Amino acid sequence: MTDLTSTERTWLELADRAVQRAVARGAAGAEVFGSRTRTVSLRWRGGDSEWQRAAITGGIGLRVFREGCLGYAYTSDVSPAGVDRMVEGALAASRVTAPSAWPQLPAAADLPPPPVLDGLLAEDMVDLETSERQAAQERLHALVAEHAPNGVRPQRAHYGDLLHSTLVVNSRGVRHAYRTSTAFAWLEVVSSAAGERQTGHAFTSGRHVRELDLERLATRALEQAEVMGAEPDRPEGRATLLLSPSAAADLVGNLASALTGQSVVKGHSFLAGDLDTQVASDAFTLVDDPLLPAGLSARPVDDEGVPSRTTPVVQAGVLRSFLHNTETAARCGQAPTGNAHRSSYRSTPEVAPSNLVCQAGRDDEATLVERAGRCLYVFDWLGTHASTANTHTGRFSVGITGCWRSPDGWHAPVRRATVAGRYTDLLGRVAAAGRDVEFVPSNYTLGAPALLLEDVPVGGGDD
Amino acid sequence: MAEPILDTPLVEAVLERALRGGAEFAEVYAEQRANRAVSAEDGVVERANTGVQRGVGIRVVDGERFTYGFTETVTEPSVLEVAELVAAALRCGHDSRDAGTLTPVTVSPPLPRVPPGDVGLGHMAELVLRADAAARAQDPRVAQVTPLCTDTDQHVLVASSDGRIVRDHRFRTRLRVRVLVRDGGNRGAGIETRGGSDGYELLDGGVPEDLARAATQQALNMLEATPAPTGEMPVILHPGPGGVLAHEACGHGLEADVAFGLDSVYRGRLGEQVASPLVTLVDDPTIPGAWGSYTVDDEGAAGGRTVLVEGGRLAGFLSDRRFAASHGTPPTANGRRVSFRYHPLPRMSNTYIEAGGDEPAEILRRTRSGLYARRLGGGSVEPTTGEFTFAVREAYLVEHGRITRPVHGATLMGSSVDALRAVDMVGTDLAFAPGSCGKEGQRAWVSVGQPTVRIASLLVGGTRRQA
Repeated sequence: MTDLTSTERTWLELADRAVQRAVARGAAGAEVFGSRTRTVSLRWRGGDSEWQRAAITGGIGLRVFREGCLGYAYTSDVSPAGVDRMVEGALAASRVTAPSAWPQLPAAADLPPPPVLDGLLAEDMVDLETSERQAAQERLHALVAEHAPNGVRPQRAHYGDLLHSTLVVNSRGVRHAYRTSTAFAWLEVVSSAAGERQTGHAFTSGRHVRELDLERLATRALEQAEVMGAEPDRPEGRATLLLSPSAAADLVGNLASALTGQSVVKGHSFLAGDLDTQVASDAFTLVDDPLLPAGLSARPVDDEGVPSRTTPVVQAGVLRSFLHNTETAARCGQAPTGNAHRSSYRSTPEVAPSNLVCQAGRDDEATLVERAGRCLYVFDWLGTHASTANTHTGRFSVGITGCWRSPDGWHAPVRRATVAGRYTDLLGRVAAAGRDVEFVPSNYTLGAPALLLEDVPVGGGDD
Repeated sequence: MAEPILDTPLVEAVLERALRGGAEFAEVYAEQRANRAVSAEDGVVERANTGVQRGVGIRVVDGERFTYGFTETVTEPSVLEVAELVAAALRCGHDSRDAGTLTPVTVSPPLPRVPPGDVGLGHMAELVLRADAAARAQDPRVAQVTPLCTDTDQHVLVASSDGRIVRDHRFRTRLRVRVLVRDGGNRGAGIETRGGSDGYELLDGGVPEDLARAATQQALNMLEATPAPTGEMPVILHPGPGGVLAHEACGHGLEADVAFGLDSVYRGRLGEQVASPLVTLVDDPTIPGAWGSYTVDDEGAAGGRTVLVEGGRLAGFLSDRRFAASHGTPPTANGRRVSFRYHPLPRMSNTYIEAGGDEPAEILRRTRSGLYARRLGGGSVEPTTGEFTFAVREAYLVEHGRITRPVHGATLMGSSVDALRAVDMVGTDLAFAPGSCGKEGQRAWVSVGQPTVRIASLLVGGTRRQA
C-alpha cells in the first residue's frame, strides 16, 4: 500500500474510524468497502466531437453484523457527520434482518498474503493531457477514413479512461487498498451500401491510451459493416458456426451467472449438480484469472479482501469449480476463490468472475475457416441479456447476426437467424478455439478467442 | 421539507464560473437521494440497507458542443473546481458571459399520502414477509420467493444561465415479487411488480398478497410450458406489459437523439404513415402516480403530453433542450438523467398505445391460431433501424380463438415499422406497467402501456417448427 495518494490515505483512515465506531456501537463485526474513480471520456458522432466528460465518483459502504444479523448502509457524504449517519443506518438495518449462521467476514489470520501484481496502473495516466486523448481519437478517424470501403462511414466513437482505487478494511484484520488504470475505445461504423443500414462495431482496451490497438479496432468494425451490408440470406438447417472472439466472450459471459456459488446456493444455476462432469467438449477450457494483467479486472484481492488466485472453472469440458465469496464458499463447503464482487460501494458483496477467460487454441482465424470449409461467422448475439438466455434452466433462444464465410472470403450476411437449445449442447459442439484472445468489458472482464462450433441447428424464420 | 443541497448564492457562483470560457449556456443539477431496500429470501428478511447519495453535475454548452462534469463530494471547493474544469474543457474563444441572478420557479410536486419518511424499515420488512407467506400458501411447489421493497426520497435542484432555478421533490415506492416453482426437474418463474411515483399508500390493503399470488400463478403456468413454435404468425400482446414492444421498437427511435440521426428510420418522415391507422402512441409524464411520471424533467422544464404517432402517422418526437434547440423543434420536457452523474438525454416517461375500439375477448375470438404474449422479457433493439428481438417471458398458444397451452422459449423478431403497420386490432382495455429502461448506461424509471393489441403477422423464434 505504498503507492497510495493522500486522498486514498484519508479514505483509509475514514474507513478505520467507521469500523471502530460500528464495533463501539455494538456490532460484532464490521467492514468498510470504498471505491473512488476518476473518469474522463470523449465521444464522437459522425466524425465530430460530441461531448467530453470529467468525473470523480466514489463513496463508502459499511456492512455490520449484530447478533448474526446483517445491516448495510452507504454514503457518498464522506464527512464525519455523513459517516456517523451511515453507521447508524447500518445498525438500524441489522435490527430487521434475520440472523445467518454463515461466516461473512474473512479474517486476515486465515488468508495467505495477496499476490504482488505489476502493471495494473500506468502511473502517467494520472496527468494525461486531454490533447493526448483527442489525438487518439483523431488517429482512429484517420484510420477509418483510410480503410473504409464505399458506403461505410463512422457513426459513433467513444474513448474513456479510468483511474480507480479500491479499499477494504474489516474488524478482523483485513486492510487493503490498490489502484488500477484503464483506457478503452469503442467504434461503431455504418454501412448503407445495399439499402438497409448495417452497423459494425469493435472494442479495444489497455492500461494506457498508448496500448490501444486502434488499427485493429478500425479494421474489425469496418469489415463487419461491409460484409453485413450485402444482400442477406436466411439460413435454415445445420451449420458450422465460427464465433468472433467478442461473440465467444459474450457466450462465456452469458454462462457466468451459472458459474457463481451464489447461483448454486439459490438454485439458479443449471450447472449446480454438475461438478466433475462433462458440460462441454474437450476443446473448451475456462479459467477465472484475476492475476492476468491484460484482463482489466486483474486485482490483488477481491472485494472482501480475499487474496486473488487462478481458478480453473471448466477443464477440457469438465466442470471443475464454481466461483465463491466467503459466504457462498462456506455454504457449499468449498474454499473461497476470491470472487467477491461489488458493483459499487452501494452494494454488499455478491459473486462474479474477475477475468473469465476461455483458453486459446493453436490456430488463427483463417486456419479455422480453412478447417470449417464453409461456416457462419457470428459477429453478435441478439437478446443474450434477455430472459431468452436463461441460466436457471440452461435453455436459450437467441438471434445471431453474422455472415457466411469460406476460405474464398465472405459471402451473404445473415441478419435474423436464431439458435436455440441447451447451453451444454452448444458447448458440446466446440471443435476448436482460435489463437488470439480478445477481451470485452462487462461488470467484470470476459476474454475469448474465436470458437468453432460444428453442426449447430440454425433457424431462420420465413422469408 | 426540502433539504437545500446547494444554496442559491453558491449555485450562482458555480454558473458564473462555468461560463468563464465564454460558453452559451451552463446548468447545475444537484440532488440528494435517500434510498432504502428490504428483501426476503427463504421466508426471512435477508437484506436491509439504507443509503445516501449526493452529487452535483455541471453542464456547459456552446453550439453543438458540450462538456459535463460532476462530483460526488458536495463541498463548495469541489463543486467550484468541477465548474472550472468543465469551463476549461470547452474552449469557446469568446468572452465570458454573465450568469446573472436566478429567479425561483415554483412547482408543486404531488406529496404522497404516506411518504417513505413516515415508514420504518420494520414496515418494509412486514410487506416482504406477507408477500413471501402468500406465495408459499398458494402452492406446495413454490420453491423460492424473493420479494423486494424499495423506496426513494429524492430532492432535485436544477438551475441554468437562463436564470431559472427549480427545486423538485420526488418519490418512488415499489414492491416486486419473484417466485420460482419446482415440480420434479421442471421449473417455472414468475415476477410481479407494483410501483409508482407515490408513497406506501400504493401497497395498502392486500397488494403484497395479490402480487405474490399472481407471480406464483405465472410460475405455475410456465411449469407446464412446451417449446414455442417458430414462424410468422399473429401475435396478441397483453395489455400493460405488452407495451414494452412499442417502447423498445418504436419509442426509442422517436427520441430526438436517435430520430434526428442520419440513419434513423424516422428521420424526415413527420406526417408519414409509419404504423397502422389504429395506432396512436403517446408519451405523458403527468399521469398521477405512474412509475415514469415527473412534474419537471431533469432540465427543470414542466412535463406534458406528447403525441408521437397519431392514427399511424408520425406526429412528434421526444426532445430535450439540446435537441429542440439544434433542430428547431418544440421542446417536450423529456430531458432525463438517472442521476447527477449523467447529462440529460431525450427519454420516454410513460409511453403507451391509446385504447382502440375492439373488445379484448373479440380480439382473441377472431384469432384462429397464434401466440399470446402475456409478459415480455428483456430484448434488444437497434434504435436506428428499429430491428428488435424480444424474449417472451410468459406466452401461450392461441388455438381456435382460445388461449390454450403455455409455451417457453419464444422470441419476437422484426422491425418496428413492419410490426406496427401489421397491427390490425386494438383493444379498449388500456393498462400500464412499471419498468426500467436502459439507454447509454443510464437506467430510467418508465411506464409502458397499451390495451390488448394484435399484430397480424410477426416472426416468432421458438424452439420447434410450427405444425
